[in-house]
Amino acid sequence: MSKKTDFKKRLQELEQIIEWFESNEVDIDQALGKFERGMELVESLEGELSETENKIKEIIEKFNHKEEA
Amino acid sequence: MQPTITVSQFIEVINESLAMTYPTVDIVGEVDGIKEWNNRLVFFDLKDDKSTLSCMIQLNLVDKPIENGMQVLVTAYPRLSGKGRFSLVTRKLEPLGEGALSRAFELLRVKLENEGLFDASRKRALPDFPERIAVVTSLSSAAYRDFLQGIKNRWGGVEVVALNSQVQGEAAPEQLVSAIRYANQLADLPEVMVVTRGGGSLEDLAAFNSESVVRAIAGSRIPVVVAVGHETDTSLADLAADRRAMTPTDAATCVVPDRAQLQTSLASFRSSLQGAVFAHLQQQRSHLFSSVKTLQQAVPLTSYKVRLQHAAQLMQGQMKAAHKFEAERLNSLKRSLTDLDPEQVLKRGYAILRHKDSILRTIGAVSIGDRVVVQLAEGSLHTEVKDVQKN
Repeated sequence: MSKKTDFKKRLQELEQIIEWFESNEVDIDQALGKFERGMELVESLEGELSETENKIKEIIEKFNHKEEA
Repeated sequence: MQPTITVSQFIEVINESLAMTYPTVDIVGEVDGIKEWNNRLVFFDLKDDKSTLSCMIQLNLVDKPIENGMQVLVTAYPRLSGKGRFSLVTRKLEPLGEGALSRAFELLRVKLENEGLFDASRKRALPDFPERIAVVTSLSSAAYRDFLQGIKNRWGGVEVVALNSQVQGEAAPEQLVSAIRYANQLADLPEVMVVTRGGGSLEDLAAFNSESVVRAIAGSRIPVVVAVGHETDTSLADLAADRRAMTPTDAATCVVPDRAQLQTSLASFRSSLQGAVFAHLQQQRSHLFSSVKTLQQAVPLTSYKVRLQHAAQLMQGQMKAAHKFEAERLNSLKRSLTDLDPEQVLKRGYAILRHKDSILRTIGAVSIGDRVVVQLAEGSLHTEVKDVQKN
């Protein structure tokens, strides 16, 4: 699975955890586990966001040939 | 004998032929000789500098004001009337006024639109977090630099495949098409493609109105964002795109998310999580407190305390009393003892008599002439028995 699809999934998982907390149906045993997982997700997502480099690949010549797979 | 047909049959044949060959045509021309008939039909001539054709349209299909002399685009089918009159039965009448695309483009637009190339249902959603982005533009242009800067400001960790192409001039359409096709056959397929250029005159933008480019965009399996930087007109490429952006920088906004915004969201998620757990713990704690209180009230600890204190006091009191009693007894014993003290007895005038070191208790224990020591309070007398008399 590509990294950024992973990103989207993790963000969605985090949003679900937040929703669960806001729903008021909070069970203390589950809460601690979800809290830990939520913080884990926040940390990893924040870490990826701080990555700043983009890779630029420029193709100047004519596009006559098909790229080898 | 040669097969023969009647006039009516021939006209029918001609019309069937026409219907098969030209079920619909789009013709551009100038309107002349408008005539309304019976409040139901409108007749007019459509002409160019050399020729004229008669047209007819139902009044209820005319939704815009038409005037003689106006340039229009007619969507119609040809028909030969029973009177041998050739006319165009018009279903759509579009005025070509100022601000609209030029004549040729308009024709092309209608044609492609009728093929469904611009349909809203064809537009695909762009990926939320792309890892690979293709950009087709002139790599020496400000548009390219603006686009890259836009990406850099918003997001990181993407790969940009930049394909160089002229964006105006004769070679432009072919190069644009080549680039778009090239991106589409990459083994590592980009998830979104941006085709962009800066602003310019209608002539400059001609490539973005060319059929081949529009078809290449519509046929791309990678979703395409077209950003032709000009304020007024919409190019055909814009219409065919999955998403239209107003400028190259705007295109960057479309294709990548905003890192800053996400960071803010994550920070707020973090607060929410911490807040939620803290609130919950507080709740649990106060619940615990109230439970303890209830428990305390159920078990009357204070009354026990009081009873204990009471008992303690009682015991203390009894101890004191007992103590007092004993002390008094002791005192009286002491007094008694003091009274019995031989010294005290002697002080009262009694004497202790001794004969040969043993205490004399009876008169029979001595005879006349015996030595007797008489001990008194402050000393003793050495005496001799002179006489013995019984009581």
